[in-house]
This record gives sequence, C-alpha cells and structure tokens, in this order.
Amino acid sequence: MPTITINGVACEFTKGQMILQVAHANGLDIPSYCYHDGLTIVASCRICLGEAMAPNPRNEGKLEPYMGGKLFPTCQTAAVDGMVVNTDSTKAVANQKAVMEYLLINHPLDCPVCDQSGECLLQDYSFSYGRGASRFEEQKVKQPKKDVGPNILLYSDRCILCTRCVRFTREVTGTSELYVNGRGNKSEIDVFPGVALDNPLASNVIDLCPVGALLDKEFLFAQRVWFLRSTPSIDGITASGDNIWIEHNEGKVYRVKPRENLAINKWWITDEVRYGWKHVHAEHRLRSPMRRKHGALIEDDYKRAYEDTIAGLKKAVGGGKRLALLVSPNLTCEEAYALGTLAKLIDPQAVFGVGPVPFVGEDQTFPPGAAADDAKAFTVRAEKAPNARGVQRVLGAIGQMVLDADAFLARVKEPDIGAIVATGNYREDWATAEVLGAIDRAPGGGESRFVVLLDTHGTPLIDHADVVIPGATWTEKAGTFENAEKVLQAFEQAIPVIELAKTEGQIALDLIAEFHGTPGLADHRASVVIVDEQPGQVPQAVEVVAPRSRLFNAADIRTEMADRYPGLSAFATDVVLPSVDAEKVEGVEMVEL
Amino acid sequence: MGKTAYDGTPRHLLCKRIPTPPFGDWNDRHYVDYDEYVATGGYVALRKSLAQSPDAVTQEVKKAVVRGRGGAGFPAGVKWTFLPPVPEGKAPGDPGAERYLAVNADESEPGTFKDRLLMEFDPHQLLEGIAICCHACGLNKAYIFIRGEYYLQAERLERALAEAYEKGIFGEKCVQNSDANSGGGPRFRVDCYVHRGAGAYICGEETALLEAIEGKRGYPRIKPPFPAVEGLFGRPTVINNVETLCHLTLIMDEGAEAFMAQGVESTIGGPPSYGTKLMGMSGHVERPGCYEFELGIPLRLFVEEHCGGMRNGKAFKAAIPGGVSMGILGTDQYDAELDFDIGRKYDVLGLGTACPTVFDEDTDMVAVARNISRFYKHESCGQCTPCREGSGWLYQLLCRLTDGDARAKDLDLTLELAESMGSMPGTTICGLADGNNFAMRTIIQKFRSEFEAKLKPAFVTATVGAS
Amino acid sequence: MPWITKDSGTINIDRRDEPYLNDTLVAEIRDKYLPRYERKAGALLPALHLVQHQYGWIPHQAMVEIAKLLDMAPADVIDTASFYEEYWLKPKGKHVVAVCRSIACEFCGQPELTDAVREHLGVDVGETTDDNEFTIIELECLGSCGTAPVMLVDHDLYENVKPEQVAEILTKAKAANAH
Repeated sequence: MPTITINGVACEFTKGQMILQVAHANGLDIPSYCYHDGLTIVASCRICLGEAMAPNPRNEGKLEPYMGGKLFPTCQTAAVDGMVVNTDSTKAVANQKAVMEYLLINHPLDCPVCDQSGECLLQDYSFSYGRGASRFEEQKVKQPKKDVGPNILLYSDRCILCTRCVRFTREVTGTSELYVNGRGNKSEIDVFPGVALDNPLASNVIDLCPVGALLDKEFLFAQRVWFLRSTPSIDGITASGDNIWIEHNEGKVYRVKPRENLAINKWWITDEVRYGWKHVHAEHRLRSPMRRKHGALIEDDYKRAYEDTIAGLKKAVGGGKRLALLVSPNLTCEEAYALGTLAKLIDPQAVFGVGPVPFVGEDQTFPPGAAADDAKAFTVRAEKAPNARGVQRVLGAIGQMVLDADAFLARVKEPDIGAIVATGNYREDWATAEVLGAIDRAPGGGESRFVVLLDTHGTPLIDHADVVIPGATWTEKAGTFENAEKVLQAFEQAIPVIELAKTEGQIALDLIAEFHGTPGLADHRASVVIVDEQPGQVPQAVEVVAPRSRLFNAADIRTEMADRYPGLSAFATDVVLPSVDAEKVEGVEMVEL
Repeated sequence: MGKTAYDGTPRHLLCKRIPTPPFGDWNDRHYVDYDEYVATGGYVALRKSLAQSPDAVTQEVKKAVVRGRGGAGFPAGVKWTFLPPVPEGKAPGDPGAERYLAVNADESEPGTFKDRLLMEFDPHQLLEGIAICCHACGLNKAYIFIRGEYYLQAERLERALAEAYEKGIFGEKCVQNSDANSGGGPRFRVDCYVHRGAGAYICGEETALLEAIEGKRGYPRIKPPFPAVEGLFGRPTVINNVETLCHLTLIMDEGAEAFMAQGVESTIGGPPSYGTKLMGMSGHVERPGCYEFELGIPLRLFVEEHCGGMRNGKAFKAAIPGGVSMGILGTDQYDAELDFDIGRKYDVLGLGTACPTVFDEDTDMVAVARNISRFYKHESCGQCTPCREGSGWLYQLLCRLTDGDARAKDLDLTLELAESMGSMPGTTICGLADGNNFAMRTIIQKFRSEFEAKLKPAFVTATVGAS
Repeated sequence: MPWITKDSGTINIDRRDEPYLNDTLVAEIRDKYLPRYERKAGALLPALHLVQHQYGWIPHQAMVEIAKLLDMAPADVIDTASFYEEYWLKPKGKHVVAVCRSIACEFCGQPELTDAVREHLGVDVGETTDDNEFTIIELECLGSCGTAPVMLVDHDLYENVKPEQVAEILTKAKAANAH
C-alpha cells in the first residue's frame, strides 16, 4: 500500500485520497473550514495549507520540494507515495496564524452570546492554531442577521464564507436556495428574496456551518452546548433509520443531530427527524397507569394495573375467545418480542397485528432527478414509522400469522376476540375512526371484551380501554429498529423515562412475571429490605427480595430472541451497534468487563 | 539568434492598419472593414495556415516563441501543445469532441489600454488570429470575452464578425470556404461569438474568465486540472490574449523568423522577448497614448524620445511597467528595458501588459499605494481568505498611512500582510493577491522614506538623567 | 426578536403582471444566445445584459424569469448577477456617470473631475439626482489611461475631461434618451 508521511507520521492511503483525508483517517488534525467529506472541494479557506517534499520520478525518485516549496492546499492535493507533508512547518504554521487572524478581523467575537460557542471551529482553531491577539485596528465590515428559512437564522457577520452551506444546497439537495451575494470582503450568504431555505434537508446547513453563522431557531439560546450530553441513537420518526445523536441535559432533549453513517444517511438527516422529537416532552404524555373502576378510568399504581390486566386477560380469553395483540411500528424489535411472548403465554393462538404505518406523500430523492440508487442521493422516506419491518419480522417468527393494521382492525371486530392488547407510541393522534371503531370494549355495542392499551400519549382511545399503561418514546429506551433497507440498527437510551411511565418492553416483562404468579412489581423501586437494623448495630438478618421481574435489557433480549427462534438469529449477528469512537487516553487500555 | 538590444527598427507592425506612433498618427485611425482588410493583405495568413497541417502551424507558432501578451508571458505555442488530441474518428465539435478557444479581451488591468485599439479599429486581424488558432488546435468555438465597459469595441467586433460569417471565415460557410481557398485544412465548422463581461477585473484571470462564460461568478478555479485539459464546460480549452492572437497573422504570413527578427534575446539566460508590443503610455508624460515598439525598448527612451518627455518638464520619479500588479520601478530604474527580463532584473513582478504608467517628482507614492490597494480590495473575488480579508485590511492601513494616522508598526504590518498573500507563497488560488503583494511591497521598499515621513511619531520616551 | 433581522426568506419582491422578459427578449435569448453555449447557464450574462439594456436595471422578478428560462434557481442567477458590478440590481438614474478612479486617472486629475460632477449634479458618488436623471459612480480602470482622466456617460467614453467640460457633457447626455 502506498504510504505518505504527514507531520512525521507514516500513513497508508489508497490512490486518489487527498492528503487531508489521509490525515483525518489516521487521526491527525489538519485544520480545515471549507472542506467537508460530503461536498466538492473548493480549497478556499486556505487554513489546511502544507509544505511537502515529493519524490521526483525524473530524478531517480529523490525527494524534492513539492510545488517549488510553495504552500499548497492539503484538502485538494492527492497523496503521492513517498511524499513527506508538513502542516506543522514554520511556513504552514505562519499561514495558519495568518488565516485565523484574517477570519477574525471582520468577525464580531461575540462568543458569549453565540450558540456555537463550545463547538465552534473558530474557537477551536484559535486555541490550537491562532496567534492569540489581533493586530486589526480598523473598522469591521458589519452585516445583518437574516431570517433565511423557517428553522434557520443566519448571522452574516459571523460567517467566514467557507460556502459549505451553499454547496450543500447546490450539490446535496439540488435546490440551490443559498448563494453568495456580492464579492470580496463584502460577500455575504443569503437566499433569493422571498425564496426561503425550506427543503426537507435544509437544517443540515446548521451542522455544516463551522461557525455560529447558521443557527437553529429551535435551539437558539436554549442551552450552552457544553451542558449537553450526546447519545447515539436511530431515527425514531421515519423508516430511513438515519443515524442520529440525541443531545440532552437533565432528562430533556434539546436537539437532534446527524451521526455519520455512509451506508445509511451519510452526514445528513431530514428536518423531520431533526425536529420530530417534540412529542417526547409533550403535555399530553401519559405519566401514570390507569385502570377502570366502577366504569371510570382512574390513575392507580402498577400493582393494581398489572393485577387487573392479567386477571382481565385470563378471564376474557379461552373457551373459544382469542387474544389480539397490536404492536406499533414505533416499538422496538425487542419489545415486539416481549409483547408477542406475553400474548402467546395468555393465548397460544393469539392474533398478531402490526399497528398502522403512517405514510406521507411519496419517497423523495435529493437532488431532484437523481436515481434512488445513486450513491450520492439522499432519500426522504414517505413511511413515517421506524420499525414496521422489525415488528413484522419478530411477530412473524414467533406467531403464525401477522396481520397488517387494516386486516387486524377488521379481525378484532369479530365476536371471537375476547381481549385486545394494543400499543400506540405514535407522534400524532393515531385514534382514527377506524381504530376507535375496532379497538373498543364493546364495538358497536356488541359483546364486551377486555382492552389493554399501552401508549405514550393521551388519545380518545384511552376511553376504550380497561387498563392504560404509559409507554416510553424511543429516546427513553434502548432497542433495535429495522429500516426500510432492512438494516437492523441498535440504539441506546438517551434520557430517563418520563415520570411513572415504563418502556413497553419492561411492561411486557412485568406482565409475564405477573402471569406466572410472581408478585408484580408492587414497588418497583424497592428490591432490598434490610431488617432488624438499629443504629450502631450490625444487621442480624438481611432479606433480599429478588426482583419479581427481569429488568428489560435490550441486548439480553436480542440474545434470547436469537436463541429461541431460528428465524430471529439475525439479532445475534446482524444488528449494527452504534459505534462511538471512545476517546483514546494514552496508557489506558479498554478491557471487556 | 536575435538582437540583444533594442535598435528601434521594426518592420512588421501589428498596428499596420491602425496608425500608431511612432510610425503613424493616431488621428488617422479608422475602422478597417473586411474589404479594406483583405486589400491590405488580410486573411492571407489564414489561407496559408489552412494549407498546412494543424501540427505544422503549432510548430511554427511554437518556434516563434510568441509569449503571451496578456501579462504572464507564457509562450502561446507551448500552451497549445498541452491540449489532448481530438478523439480519434471525431472532428472538433462532434458530440464529445467540443473544444474551445476563449479569447481574453477583458483588458481591465489599471494602466492597460492596447487590446481596445486592436478590437476597435482592426478587428479582422483578431478574427484571423482566432481562425488560425482554431485550425491549429482543432477548436470549434471561440468566445471573445470582452470587458463590459468596452461597448464600442464589442459593437465593432460584432460588425466584423457579421462580415466574417458572411465571407465564410466562420459559421456554416467556413467548411466550404476552407476547401475553396486552401484545398486542405480543417473540414469542421468554427463559430466565433462575443461574450460581454460585466465589470469584474478578476475575469481577466483565465479560469475566472471561463466561469464567467459559463454564467457563474468569476471565481478562479483550482489548477490542476488545467484549462487545456478541462476548461470551458469541462472541455479542452485554449485561452489567449487578443494581442497574442493578432501576432499569429504575421507569423503565419511571413514566418516565424519575421516575428523573431524583432524584439530582443534575454540578457540573463531566460527565454527571449521576440516581436513588437503595443505599449500604452499613461501618467505624467507629455504625449501619453498607445505606441508600438519592439520589445526591449528602454523606458527612458520611450518617454524622452517618443512621448515628449515628462509633463511640464518635471523629473521622473517612478513607473509601473505594465499594469498595477507588476509593482513599481524606482527613480533609479528609469533605464529599465521593457521586455520579459524586466521582472528578474528590476525587482518587479514582470513586464505585464507593457503599458507603463509614469509618475513625476510631485507624486505622493503613499497615495499611489493607496489607490492600488483600493483597486485590489474592490476587485478581490472573495474566494480565498487571505485575499478577501487581507485586501480590505491593507486598504484601511494604506488609508491611515496616507492620512498620516499610522505608526511604524502599521507600516511593518502592511508589508507583512502583503508578502504573505498570493499564489507565489501559495496562500491563494489565483495571482490577484500577488499583484497586490508586489505593488505594496515594491512601493514601500523603493519609497520607504516617503512612508516613514508620514508616520505619526513613535511614543516619546523621555531620557531621565542623561547629560 | 429584539434585534433587526433581514427577512430574506419571507420578503415579498416587487412584482408586476407583465413579464420583464417579453416575447422579443425571450426570443432573442432563446434563438440567439442559447445555441451558443453547451449549457444553458452560458446565456446568463447575455440575458442579464439584455434586461439591463431594456429596463436600465435588473429587477428581482426579471431574475426569476431568467432563472426559469435557463433552468436555474433564482439564487444562482442573483449569485452571478451580484458578482458583476455592471449589473444594477437596484434602480438607478436614467443616465450613469462613471468616473474612472484608477491609477492613471487619479493622478491625472480625476479627483477634480469627480468633484466637478458632484458639484454639477448636487449629489455624491453612489447617489442619484432627485429628478432621477443621473447616478454618479466611480469605476476602476476603463482602459483609456492614455487619455486620463476619463469618464463613461452611459455608453459613451469621454477622454481628457476637464472639470469645466462636465456641464456640457452632462447636458448633452440628458438630451439624449439613453438608459
């Protein structure tokens, strides 16, 4: 393999790679603003410049100053075998300092009130490559703030004209909303008057912007970025399976950002995914179990809710009466498994169905006109649920037949259905007339059935249920989604489950425990009781109350699924785990615990 | 081997139909139409070219070492040889074999006015040069990129083009015409269009010019790929200056030797400076205007003999050899010879367009620097950080220096900023900032005392107890 | 929001019912210029020139129309148009007086010439007279350094201009009905 030496480190590369790319692939830092893996190279910010010695084939391959010893852009120069590049030479460092000084002369330096503070390349590079003080004593060019789109504000005077955003709208979305106005140091980014930056991928320019020029209106002044913690997750809104970071603090989600995955979403996410998490903190989230008492739904504890559920299901099923289980396409594969297992326990012939899968319009490919299989194209899915395929796959493996939502809703109207367990977890009200007409304690005033509803948000459907147990959104749980391309991707829990709600997977495990007669998790927090304890005394007896139910652990469930059902072996082998580069600390080894 | 020094005896004038001093009176100038052009020996060179193979024409031009007249001085014939061959089995212009000529008529370098004459009065000479070049290089379309402010010149070109199309130099008829006149040569259609710029100096940079023809903002492109390989619309493209193309008529009519008999050899071991050159003299001389001389004429001779000396009998102080980008010749460099050696011999960027701007003893050199830096601030395209931000900063510094509101550190900073930008240190994509760099650096170095005289005094340090 | 923000994305551009690209202009762009270029965008500079020649400036609506004709986004059109200073993206006076301020002109009497123009018209550089007749601008080199100072009034170049000739030149320009 050809090798290039960058700042003293020998790096292997493949032909055609640019020097900067080789450096980044090898963990070497070369500063850059205008360069982005997903965009064409313009080599205009000029901070990545380096010097090199390259072998001269016309002089027996002897090393000679490359480009006559001039500085050259490493982002735009292909690596050559045997080349020795330095971006830490005196000349290169002087240029870095000069570029930093230039970029800051017309920059307002308003970091204290800038959202980008803490994740700003101007700050980072000022620290690593800057000169510390400015010699600029003249007037700064002042530019306005601009409202360029429904989600985006442009602080023009913070802009460094890297043109990443302009190239994004030209090359990735093909919509060309952004442009450079004017020239020289009066150049500014803008949109054509009245043509807003408003396409399904628009807000990616916020992440692309290396400085605080393009900002998210949603996130504006909402939180300092250094308070945020990031959890790798998967798009829980659409069927694309976009890889995301959920950024949160104190149990509250503040923003969602794309996580690079070249096989799925590349560097981008749709605005729908970016802003689609508002329901997580919605007012009408269900926060406590409810059961029906004297005909009215009342909030109660889990003990009674679980007792009611199992007793009700046992009573309603059998003697020719069936249980019907509707698993929402918003639930994880592991949850589908736990719920399916529960259902089969109660009724081995339980009817399985996948909840309604919302579709909005048709798949949209960007740039417009690109073939859907174009490696550079980005497809926005019309299917607005993350896991219809996963739920189908899991239920199909453990049950006989899985009905789609329409068939399921028709089926449950038949008189042999004695009980229904339905799961919701939809962003929007899913209780359509069809759903309300089918999932009911006594549809059409007919024979009464027992209805259990696991849902995240209050809808008219709760009035149709005997027991309502509050579920958790995907941000509050770990699990696996199968996207439209049939890729299984696992994700982690970002924030704690809201108030008394539980993940649907945990609810299923609790109900299984309840079914087996292990007392339900009356007080799900208490697991150890210490008796006979007086101050200063050694405890004489310790009674450990074993957890009456397993704690739901997505990884364990996946192993179990694969072990029990050959059709689910993919969950042991094919699940893509979020790979997060652990920070390497010298002298510290990571070991498997 | 040609002459080593200017002797003032050119025989072959580019301006033979455009009365130009010292061999004519510019009051006698008039538009030369097709008939007059042909009657005075026009389109003979094209016929002679078409009778030869494209390769033979290229070799003749290469032999003549006709160095680019647009400022860079790169030999045109050599440039042509960078073109990839026309794909086998295809003629230029066939789908997939489009090949272009971009004529650089964006004459915008302050101090420069020469191409305008060639286009205004004798446009057929340019069109003939274009046709020769298209034949030699296998190019099927030529775009004359003319600066937007040259309204009259663009009109004259359109008029001449209409005549040329009519007479079968270009367009549909050109295929038959090449047969009728030559019995050989290309059998492909060549088209030629005027493409007007719109007020952007940077479009004179060859790749920015291509962007402008493509309808984009004039951001210079990163090289490589070079235009010869991937130029206009991604096709092989030749870019030549107007004056360079005009010289082809002489070379193809009378041969490379006729061209080489004029001008001078290099005295410092560099490539030669053959041929005559249009030289537009401006500034503080008695008779400014566009002249034609052999390359190698000393500036002093040009001013004193031909321009009637310095205006009002003042003394010579400084001169810009050919456009503000070139830097400045100091008071002691009055004898500088105007040829392609000038850059290395006199610490300027180069000959540029060989259109000198001369300043007399009363000129404020700090104000000269300020004027030039304003030009660069105004014309920087804004693509590369150092030039975009640096040119604005430099101008503000120069304003303070001119106004006497600067200290010594500001002067040092001015020099430092100037020296760090440009394609020569490698910090910018194109050479625009190099021009800024050279202008600032050479003016400050050659006239430093003038700058220092305008500085505010350094903070006074009292010396206590000294006796 | 507590600061002044330019409503770039929501602003309403001035519109009129009649298109700026009338049939004649469309025909000229389509039949004369489009065939010259391998890609449609090549005709952008000529199209902008035509509109400016016709209307004296290039309104936003015209850019939208050009964009449509050339299969481009309006932003691509204004990206190019705003780069070139010859294009007027805002209305200007009927006549433009452009004084060259480059090196030869500045040192051969341009400051006095600019002053004379300003004085004669009573407005500053960059401004338009109240009667909307004249806009004064300063330009970089007009390529006529041998006859400095020079100024361009509409399409006519005036050479070796003395401050005292300004009145006559401008009166003549006003009489002519050019843009």
